[in-house]
Amino acid sequence: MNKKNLVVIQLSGGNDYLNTIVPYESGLYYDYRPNMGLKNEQIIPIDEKIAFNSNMKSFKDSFDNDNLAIMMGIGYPDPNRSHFRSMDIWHTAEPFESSSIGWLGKTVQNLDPENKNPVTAVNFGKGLPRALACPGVSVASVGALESYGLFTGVSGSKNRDVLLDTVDRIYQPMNLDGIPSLRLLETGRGALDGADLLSEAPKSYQSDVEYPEDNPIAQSLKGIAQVASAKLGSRIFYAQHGSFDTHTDELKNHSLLWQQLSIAIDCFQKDLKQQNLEDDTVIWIFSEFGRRIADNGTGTDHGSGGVAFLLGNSVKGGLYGEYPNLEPSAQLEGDIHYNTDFRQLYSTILEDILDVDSEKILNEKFSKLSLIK
Amino acid sequence: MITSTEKKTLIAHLMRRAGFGSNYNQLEELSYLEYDEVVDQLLNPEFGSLEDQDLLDRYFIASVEARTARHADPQWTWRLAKSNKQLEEKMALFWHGLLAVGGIKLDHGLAMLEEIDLFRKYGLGNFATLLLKISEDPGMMYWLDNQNSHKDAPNENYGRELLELFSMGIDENGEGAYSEEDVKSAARAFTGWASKPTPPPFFLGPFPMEFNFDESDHDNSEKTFLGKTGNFNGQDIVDMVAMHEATANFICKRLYLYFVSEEINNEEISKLSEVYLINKGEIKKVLEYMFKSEHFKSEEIRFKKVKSPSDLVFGITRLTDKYEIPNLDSAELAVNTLLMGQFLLNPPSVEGWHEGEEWIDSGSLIERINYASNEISNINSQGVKNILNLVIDKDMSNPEEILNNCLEAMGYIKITENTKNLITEHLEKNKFNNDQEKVLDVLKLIVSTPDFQYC
Amino acid sequence: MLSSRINYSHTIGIASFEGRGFMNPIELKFHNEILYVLSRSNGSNKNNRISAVSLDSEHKFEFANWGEENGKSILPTSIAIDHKNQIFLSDEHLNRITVFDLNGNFKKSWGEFGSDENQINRPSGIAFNKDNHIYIVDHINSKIKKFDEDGKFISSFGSFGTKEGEFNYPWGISLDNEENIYIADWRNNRVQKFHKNGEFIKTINSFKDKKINRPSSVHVDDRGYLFVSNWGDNSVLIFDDNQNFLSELFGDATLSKWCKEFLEVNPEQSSWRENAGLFEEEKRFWKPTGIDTNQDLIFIADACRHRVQIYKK
Repeated sequence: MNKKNLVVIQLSGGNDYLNTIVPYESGLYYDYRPNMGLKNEQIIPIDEKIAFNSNMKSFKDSFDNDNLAIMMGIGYPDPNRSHFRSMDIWHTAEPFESSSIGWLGKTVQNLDPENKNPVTAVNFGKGLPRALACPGVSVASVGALESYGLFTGVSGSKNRDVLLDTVDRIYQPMNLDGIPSLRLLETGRGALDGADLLSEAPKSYQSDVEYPEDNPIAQSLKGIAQVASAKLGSRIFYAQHGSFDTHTDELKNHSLLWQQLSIAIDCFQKDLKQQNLEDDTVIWIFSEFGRRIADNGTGTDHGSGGVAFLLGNSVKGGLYGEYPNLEPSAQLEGDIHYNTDFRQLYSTILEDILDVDSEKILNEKFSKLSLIK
Repeated sequence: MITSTEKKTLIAHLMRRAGFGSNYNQLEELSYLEYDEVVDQLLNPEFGSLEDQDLLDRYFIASVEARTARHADPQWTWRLAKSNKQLEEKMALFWHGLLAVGGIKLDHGLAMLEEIDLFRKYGLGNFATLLLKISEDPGMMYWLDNQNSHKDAPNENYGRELLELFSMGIDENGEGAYSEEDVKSAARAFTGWASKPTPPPFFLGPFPMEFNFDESDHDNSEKTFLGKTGNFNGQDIVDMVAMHEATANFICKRLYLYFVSEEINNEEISKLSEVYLINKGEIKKVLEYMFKSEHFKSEEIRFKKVKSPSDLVFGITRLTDKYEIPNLDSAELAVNTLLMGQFLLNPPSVEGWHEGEEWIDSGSLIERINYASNEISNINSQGVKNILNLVIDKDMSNPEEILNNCLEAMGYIKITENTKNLITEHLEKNKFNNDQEKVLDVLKLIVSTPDFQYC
Repeated sequence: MLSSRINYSHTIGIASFEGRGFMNPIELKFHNEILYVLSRSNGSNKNNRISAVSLDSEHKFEFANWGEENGKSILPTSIAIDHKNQIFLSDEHLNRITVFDLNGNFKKSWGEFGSDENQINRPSGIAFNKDNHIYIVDHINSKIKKFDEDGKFISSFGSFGTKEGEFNYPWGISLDNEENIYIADWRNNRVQKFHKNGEFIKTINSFKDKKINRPSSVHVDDRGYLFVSNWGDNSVLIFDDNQNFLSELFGDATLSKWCKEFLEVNPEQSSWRENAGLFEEEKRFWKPTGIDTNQDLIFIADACRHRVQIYKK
């Protein structure tokens, strides 16, 4: 069945592809990266050409279990090296026009046309990513599950409870008299109900997995496991990790970020197994762009083209696409060329994971990738 | 004879719409004037730099060389929260949403601030002048790709948006009062209008953007535009467009939607268009007519417009009178509007924001309620202290009276009977340790109601 | 005559949010061949830190990054190094003085918000006297306050106003060899000189036919020469030991080593720069702030250009 849940992990800031999947047999790589070419114990070979960054241990395990698909060289036409614009393009699936509607927001609208379930999509973090924004679509945006909802700044739980009780009585469709719009009352209703559902989720959750406290992405994934295990009908989960904007001090920062993510993914996969969700959940990891082929001494600057991962029991593991050519003649203004359009991946996610007609979301038919078992 | 409360209630309505609202003490002061005099005062601000500009620059030095829109935030939000020239600021926000430039593509905070200042300076003046100024704005030229528009290969982006989104508009069927030929002619007339190249900001920070007219890249040949033929330059196009009936209608409709009501009233809009045309595009005259009309003043208009995130956030900062001098908190106010769906200095597209009901989704409503209830119960803010004093000094025995006194102390606002009853019940059935707790609960509840989302 | 001898030397710096480079440097101190540069950033952007660099642009380490915990800072204003080789950092958001060793290790912190004599409200410039007592420009309280190095209040002078001995949002501070105190009385557009007991000596508010405009920082070197950052008009003023005007600098920066490296690996950025051709504008100060000197060199923190311009005396 093609009805799975999607967990999105956005690597914000521009993940350095070349130091994530390392072309360790390429002399050019070390020529361009005199200060930060990874070698020896800094890498874990995948084959005779490329290797994982050694901080990605759990990725290597998933790869060996055929559960990790690596899309080598994913991107969009006319690359833009501004974080925001590039992220906008990924979020709206619109490489040419500026748009305010997120592709996953549109997807939620498709999954739940009557807006019945306020937690069809749940974002972990402050503020909604544009990917999930769509007029008329309710998406819950959660900082911490335990304290999610209204009056979170009010001190004293007793006061919070009585305030919530009154507000709950105010946001009832029957109180329309004099309020200009029913929709506002209904939105309030959805917000309150969604908050109730989500704050109840941790209570029924049981797990032996211990997510490290000082690892923010692990904590986000724990929240996702809690909500997923409560079976509230949530289909899309969103979390962010970063910052990958490693202009300086890259060796230290980039390693730490992947170490955190690797540990977080390891915990999450174990947890999914305990929750019996491991066959129904697919993790997708992406970043707005890769970075320059050449280093700048202590880091790398904004580039284009990058790598994306799909991870899960139902994923057909392996390498997809070709590793980018680093030859000067094959470069795009000092960057790698992409070879897979990101919308091909999107149409795969839409149809084979979420079971949504991709053309309705992307306005165009893109050839799918064969990534799901 | 209008009572003093009625007058204050009316002025409060004006201030919520033509600005971000006035608090109880400010309304006391304003009510010494006649309503029309308050309108005149709003319409005639003195343009000039901000009194505390030097302090802003000192405390937020990165906003002086604002590299991105986000770096520029502390500069604009301070004015939105503090400026006494409320209509000037509200108009800057109006034009920022109509002649919209997105800070993320432009990626130049300094240019964004220049643009907001342009809106302050020309936003209440003649529309033709404003259109000309924005056409000479380097940020706008860059945003709409006019630097890629050349004599031998005009780029139509600016020409098209100028007609479609900035002046003449299109109807529901996508039809405008202009043709594709007019778009092409406008684009040709604007060839050679561009921003000068600046060094990238990645090593020394940004350099101010400048406009440049390149005569040698300008198409000097004859063009036909809106039925007239001549060797038109951008300025000629702007002059013709600004005085077109379709422009009068389009701009007046947008002003009506922004200041009066989200329900289009063609009769009122055509009255405004007439004022616009008679006064040759003087925006101030249109606004004067609008604010002084019986239609604007009528009860049926009040509390029917959904507050934008800026209306809500800056309404609350003004009501609570939270800031004396700039601090880290005031510098981050834009984060609050962002979480409610309005990314200041970065409207989502050249169409600006979708206003009205679209502001509200469940996530943004939670942000609104949490922000407003936190701020209105922050007893360190001078404005909150004032409200508490006003209410506690009066009758504290009758829940209904407490609620009414709170509504008055919050600037003569109104909520529905249902909501009133539920808040009164809240007071009746819960126990409070003291009067302050009681009043703070009422304040928190008022700002959490659906009623409070309207202005 | 100094004005004829003063020559530009070189520039250190590049705009950077972390690590090698600076983000709005507003203060600096040169000590044991290390230049300590304080990046202010914006508070909300969280890029503030103290960077330790060598004169040939080697980024050694950084500390006092964004945060409220011990050893961190939110809105840092100034640094000073005492006679025991300790670095003091003032923070006007936390109303706190933090003490580090020369390697940036946290030692202690103190400071209490308020308007009482032993309290501070937005501390700006800081400087030490020979007794190792610290002067703090307590700028919202319009006072210059003296504490011992552990934060015990000793004395203070000044009040709000525009008259002699009064202050209006004062900012920088420096002491000469005789421990006379110079204050950049920022909003009063003047520098005031005081005897070490707080007695007013004189006002410096003009040079040639011009007025000083919002002076941010003052520095007196070992010869008694006075350097003033004329922040409002983007220049640096130099006066002799009798406070007679000598010279005005507008900035002479060339590309730093780090900027050159950046442009080399980013050729399209380099061509944009060439294309813009604003080479004269690139040289100029934009909101110059902190100044320090040693026997031979003058260091100027060029806040909005993310660099330190260095001159030879």
